[in-house]
Amino acid sequence: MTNNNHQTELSCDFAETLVAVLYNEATEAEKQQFEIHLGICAFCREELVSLGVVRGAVADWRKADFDWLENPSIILPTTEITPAAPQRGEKIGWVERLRKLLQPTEGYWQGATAFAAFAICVGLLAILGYAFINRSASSQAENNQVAKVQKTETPLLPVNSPTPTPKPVVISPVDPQQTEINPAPIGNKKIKSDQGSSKQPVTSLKLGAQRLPTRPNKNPNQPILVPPKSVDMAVEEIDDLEDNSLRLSDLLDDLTPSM
Amino acid sequence: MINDASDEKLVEMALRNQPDAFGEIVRRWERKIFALCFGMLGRDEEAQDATQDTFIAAYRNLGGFRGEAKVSSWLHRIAVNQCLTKKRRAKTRGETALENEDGSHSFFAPLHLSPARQTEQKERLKVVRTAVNALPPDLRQVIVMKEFEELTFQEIAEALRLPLSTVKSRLYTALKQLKMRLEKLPLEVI
Repeated sequence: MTNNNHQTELSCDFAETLVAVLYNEATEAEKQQFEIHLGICAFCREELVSLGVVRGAVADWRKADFDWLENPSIILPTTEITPAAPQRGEKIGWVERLRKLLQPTEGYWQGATAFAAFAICVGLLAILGYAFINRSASSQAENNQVAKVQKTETPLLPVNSPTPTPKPVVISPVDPQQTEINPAPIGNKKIKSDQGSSKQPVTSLKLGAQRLPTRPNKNPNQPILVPPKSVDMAVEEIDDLEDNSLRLSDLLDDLTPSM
Repeated sequence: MINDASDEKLVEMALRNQPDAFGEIVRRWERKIFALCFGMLGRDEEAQDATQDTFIAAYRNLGGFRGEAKVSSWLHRIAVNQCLTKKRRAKTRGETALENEDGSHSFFAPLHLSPARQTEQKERLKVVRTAVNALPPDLRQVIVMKEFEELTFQEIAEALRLPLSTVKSRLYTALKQLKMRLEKLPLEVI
């Protein structure tokens, strides 16, 4: 069943034209060409008739089951229409992205409030952290300063060298000609320094804590001499003590009610 | 103004939150979309659900319509996808839409025919429904668009994003397969 224009039954070159003619969508040129083809192709003539019947059967089904149906009632959602997300491969400028980001949406204000609270918390933490770091740095600087001062006073010893054991402080009798003090009773404001009245040497003197030299004594046999305070300094301290006691008594006098 | 506006203009108006614009789109296309869904699914209730879902999906994705194709093509693509999704779900549940349909809802029973002839007519329609349902989805959607929606070849090609020649060849193949299936069935339909 082949001829010049019809190769086989299953692959006719006029299949598309046949469908276009069947649904009355063929152009005038196609119609004329197909009519010529029908005159020489029995298969296409049969096909046109049989497919027309099939088409009629489907149309009957539509008329029977669908044409009398009413349209469904469409209920649309009440939400607003939002622009869709960009498709894959689509490029959007940063201005457009920023505009979309700042565009108020459903959860925009909730998100903005949460972001503001988060930013405030971060700011407070930053301020506290900065203050803490400053305080630590200043205390570290002070410690470094103290350590530097101590380093200048106390020489570093090698780790392997034996730690010098503290030597007992031996206060040797002082040369009487160096310092003399009049053993007048404390409390009397008049303290005189009379060189001729008392020639007894002062064996000890406790007028306050005196700092001993931290430098190790190179000669352990040599006694450490504590330079005594001068007489004037001692008198001034005694005066200070007496002045304090007097002030306390004055306060007590003031507190007692006058009869 | 809304009645005279094009579909694309109506989409723009709907995007500016004019409430009646999308309603006009629904009014224009609901019958054809319903016909497509009915032809694809074969049941009134499922076709109504698919039509509803189609317009809801279109409404929610209206911002994604970029005007590259016609609104009608866009709606048809959504409807076809909705129908195919429903068919897949029905298949998963073990249901077959058209085979279970006995044609009892059909009004196509002319009074001038005898009862025996009316019964024969119902059986004939059932055979046709079964044969259409047995077509592959790509062939079925083409013949449904042509027979139920009465779209042109060009409109079908735009809706399905296919070349015009492909639409014609698919329609030819669909009609051929329908003819073969109807010939195999016991009832003489031709």
